[in-house]
Amino acid sequence: MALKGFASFAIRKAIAAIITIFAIVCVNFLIFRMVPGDPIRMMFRDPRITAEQMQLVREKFGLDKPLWEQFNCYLTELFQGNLGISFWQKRPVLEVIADRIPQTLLLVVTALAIAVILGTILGAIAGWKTGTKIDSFILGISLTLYSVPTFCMGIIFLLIFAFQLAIFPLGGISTAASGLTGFGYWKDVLWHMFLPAISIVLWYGGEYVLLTRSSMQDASGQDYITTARAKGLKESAVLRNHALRNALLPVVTITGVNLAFAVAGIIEAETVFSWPGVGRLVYDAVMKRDYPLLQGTFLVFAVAVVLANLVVDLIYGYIDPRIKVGKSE
Amino acid sequence: MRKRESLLALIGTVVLVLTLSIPVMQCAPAAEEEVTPPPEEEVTPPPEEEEIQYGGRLNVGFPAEEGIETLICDETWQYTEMGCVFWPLVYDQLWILGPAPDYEPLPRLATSWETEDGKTWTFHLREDATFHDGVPVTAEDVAFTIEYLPQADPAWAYPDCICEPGSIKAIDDYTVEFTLEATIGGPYPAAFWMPIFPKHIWEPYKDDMLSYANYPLIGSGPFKLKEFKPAEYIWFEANEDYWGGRPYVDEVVFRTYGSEDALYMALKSGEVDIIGYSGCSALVVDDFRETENIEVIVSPGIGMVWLSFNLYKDGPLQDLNVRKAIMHGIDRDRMIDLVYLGYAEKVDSFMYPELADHNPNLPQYDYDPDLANEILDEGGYIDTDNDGIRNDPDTGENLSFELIVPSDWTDEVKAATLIKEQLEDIGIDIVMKVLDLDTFYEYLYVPEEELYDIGFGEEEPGPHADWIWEFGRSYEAGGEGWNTAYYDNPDFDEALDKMLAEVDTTKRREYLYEMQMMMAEDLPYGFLVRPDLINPVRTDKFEGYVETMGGVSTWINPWTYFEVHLK
Repeated sequence: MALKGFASFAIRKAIAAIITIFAIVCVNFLIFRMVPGDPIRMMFRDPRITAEQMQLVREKFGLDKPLWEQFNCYLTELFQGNLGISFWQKRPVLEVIADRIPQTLLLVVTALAIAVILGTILGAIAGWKTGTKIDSFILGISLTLYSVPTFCMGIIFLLIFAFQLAIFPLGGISTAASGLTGFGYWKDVLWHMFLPAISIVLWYGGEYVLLTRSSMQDASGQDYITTARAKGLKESAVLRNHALRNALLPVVTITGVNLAFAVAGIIEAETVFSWPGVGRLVYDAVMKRDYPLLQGTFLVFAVAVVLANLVVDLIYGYIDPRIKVGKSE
Repeated sequence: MRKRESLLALIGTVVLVLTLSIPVMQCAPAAEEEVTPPPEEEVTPPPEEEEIQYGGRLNVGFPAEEGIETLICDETWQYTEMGCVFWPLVYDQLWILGPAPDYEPLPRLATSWETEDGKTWTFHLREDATFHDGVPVTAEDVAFTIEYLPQADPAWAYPDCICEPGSIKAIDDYTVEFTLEATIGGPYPAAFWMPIFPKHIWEPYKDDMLSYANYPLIGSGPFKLKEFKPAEYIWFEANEDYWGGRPYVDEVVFRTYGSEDALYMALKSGEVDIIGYSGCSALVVDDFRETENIEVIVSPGIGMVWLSFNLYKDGPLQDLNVRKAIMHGIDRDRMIDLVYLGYAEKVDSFMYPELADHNPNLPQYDYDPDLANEILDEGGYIDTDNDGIRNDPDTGENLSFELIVPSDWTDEVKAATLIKEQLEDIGIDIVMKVLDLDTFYEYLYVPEEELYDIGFGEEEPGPHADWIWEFGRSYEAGGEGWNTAYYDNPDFDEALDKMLAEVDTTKRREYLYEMQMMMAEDLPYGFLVRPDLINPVRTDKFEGYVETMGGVSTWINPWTYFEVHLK
């Protein structure tokens, strides 16, 4: 019964996600057609390209066809997993993005996971002990970190830890031309990952602290906490089982929403730390006006965010006692 | 209370930073040892009488936006900084432009060449050159490249390599002959700055060379490509079998940095030895001067900066007097001081002043606001509506022009602001339009679409720059494209064609003088400055950086990589 209810809830959410993705695909397609300027002419820095040569390229990319036909073609190709050819790199967009995704996932998933865990724990403690020295200590740090732009923090970290103290590299994912393989290589990657990861952790961690803290404050004033205490439960049990469980709900929501904003942070972090991931790819694609590539990366980001939100929704439906998906029928 | 809270917060931050750094400091040395690149002392003892030491790895830093992402032979090899520096290391050319100050054509794959009419060229190849896979370089490879590369991308199609169909012949294994469509006179032979590709690898892709990923890369140059990691690095190693002997350094690594700050830090910390193309900004030069083990080499620039006046568009700019007034209204000395911090010189032509072909008698447009005002007054451009801006006597409209400049050119954006300010003093209004680079070029290259009045121009003609004069060829004479000013002067076209075809150096110079004079008098382009190239280089490990115009590493200067060696 409960499982069945959950399944229908999950299916509803999944359908909503698919509709969202389709809408994104449409917008994504249209946005780049609305940008002024001829992308084909922008592909060539050399002014001596003739009208004929441009027409050939235009035909090659299907840009000579009417908009509706282009859209049709775009959808068809999309379903076959073809995101087009990058103007700038002259190879399939999917291939270009796929080359970069592992690096970004490695950095972002690691850093965000640490940020969420650390932020929640510290936030819970601060919220539970509102008004104490521990609280103002944690709050102080979090507010500071949260208000420093990632870019700025990254540069400062580079300056202190990579340049002045020289204990971390100045950027990149691995030591250039090191010839390292296997274990040595991965150790090298971890070493390179430290500063960018810490920057992301600190920035997003601060946000989670603030969020969990205020949510915890709300929860700790609720009647059910008083009830729990009245029952004679240990303080730690009240914190864990009653307060935190309820306080976490908004944190889960924000994790999903936050992923969308994380994209911007990732672009900054990857640029500052020369990290060869999707974020820097977007930056370069913008600089080089590579429409197919931009379209592709936007789509990948959008789909990632929608999927993450779907997962969050499902988790939410599972953990929030108020969403009684099982009993609604 | 509040005070105490903020104090606590501050302490918190400090503690946080410290605790973070402690474990890090402890584990760092071990990690560092692990990743230390192969020892640079690994020197191969060379059979050389001179005491030049072989070995070492030269690290070269590029900002990420100057990097390349693929090894495809498209226009990035001409128009991106890393693209045009990387290929001359791995590919040999028929001949190469020598270093400063003579910039002579030097034999490379070709030992000699001859032509009688400047159209039919015969190149004799050396017999000891091989590609990196061991296959000898023959006339077939040269013929193949000359035939197909110019078709691959318009960026490779220059008059000195576009041949009459069917005229390219490998006469024997080591002799190539081809007939150009245009006549090439002057001191330099045909087929300038062209990588010679191995036919046995490229043959299947000849009709669409851009479809070949080109990895592993096989060339015949002094360096071999060892590893290419897009957005990270290009790793070169010395070609032990190079016909001219291997280069002194064992390895060269081009590395990319996401930001200029990181690149500068890398240079200061010794992670890179030189900056790959554009040198450093004048703003940080003093900082580098004070850094130990860094020498700052200031070279005359290779890039020229000018204003293109859109002469297609109807309006006061078509009046030579207005253009003259604008040039007299711009204080270039102040521009050099404020924008380029003194690191630039004034120019009056596409020709560099130190070259013999530069006409020394060109009219100068020195800063003279009084003269500018006088010219405008005489031309009838009076401020009739008292708004501080002069009016066009024909239409009554304000003398207001749109000036376009790309946002990437930070110095020129500043220069544009200065120009706007200065021209206000002579009653001319400038509306600045800062565009992204691609949109900028999209506007600039089609003056007929009237998307701008005045555009900034910047190119790197280099010492062998017949092509730069195409900026003056009229549309009627086929000048579409580069002629961003829509300059239209049949006399100029005639002189240009004669110059290109002239074999006699003295006569050629006469035509060049004439062309420069016409341009300076007609002012389709208002020449402004030539910014210096500031190269901070590390001197703790290497010496022998070669300096030409444009600095130690440019498209015309692969010499640093061939000559640099351990101290």
